[in-house]
Amino acid sequence: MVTPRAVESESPTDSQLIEQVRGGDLNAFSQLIVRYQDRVFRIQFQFLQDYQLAEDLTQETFVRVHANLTRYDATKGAFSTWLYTIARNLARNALAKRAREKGTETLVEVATPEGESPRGMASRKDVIAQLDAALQGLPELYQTAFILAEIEELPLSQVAEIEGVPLGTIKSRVSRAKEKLREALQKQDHEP
Amino acid sequence: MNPEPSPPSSDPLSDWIRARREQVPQLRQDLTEQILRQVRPPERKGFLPMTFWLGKMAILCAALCTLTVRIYLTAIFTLVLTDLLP
Repeated sequence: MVTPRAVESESPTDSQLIEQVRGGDLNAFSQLIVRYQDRVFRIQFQFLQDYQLAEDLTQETFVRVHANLTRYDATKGAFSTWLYTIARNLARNALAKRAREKGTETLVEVATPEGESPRGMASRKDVIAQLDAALQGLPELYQTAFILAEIEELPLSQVAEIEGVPLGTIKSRVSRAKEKLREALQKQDHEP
Repeated sequence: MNPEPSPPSSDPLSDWIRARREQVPQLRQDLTEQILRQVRPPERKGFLPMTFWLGKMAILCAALCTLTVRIYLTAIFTLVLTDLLP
């Protein structure tokens, strides 16, 4: 996978592309989509654990970006931060809607490494299900910080910008989220 | 792109985080085109200019009819009034 940073060193910068898109250049917008669609999709998928919904919201994210590009102010932050904020907002809204409609479900299926015993596999699946459920049950702010910083490995400073809070707050939210997930694991270990 | 799953470590939380990163499915290749279709401004359809010109013609016809009727009525009143005057 080509990272946005690697692409930026060889091709036009985000700011140049944005200027072109503002002038009506759809080819420039297509380059922005190609540059960021994988990351946006990953973020949506990590929140929702639903391929179709994540794909729909990825499309929606870029449609909104195109419609609101005149509002984007480069002096207030990187384009990617603005983009990920829109993606995060859409994912949160979808999660809230889903929670209202039918409650939360765990949809994760993870391949198991070869050579693991059936008992080990079962235990591993239990752990995964337990942690998925625990993540879904975390308060929204902890969940977002954990997904963006720990799972998607975005820089903490960028997560802080997306969330609109100081860096220290994000560090503490991630740490608290980890604590709560470990607690959930321990609870499972102590259950008969 | 789903790489081979990594072997389990002693920390289940780290294993799970790694699994979450690895389990993201591949995004469809034609998504870019699909997004572009949604943001592309709609093309002007053929019937729009036709409607425009038909409208123009209708307005012109109405104006001509009104003018003809007015001239006709004016002529009649003029004749009637001329006959009635002493």
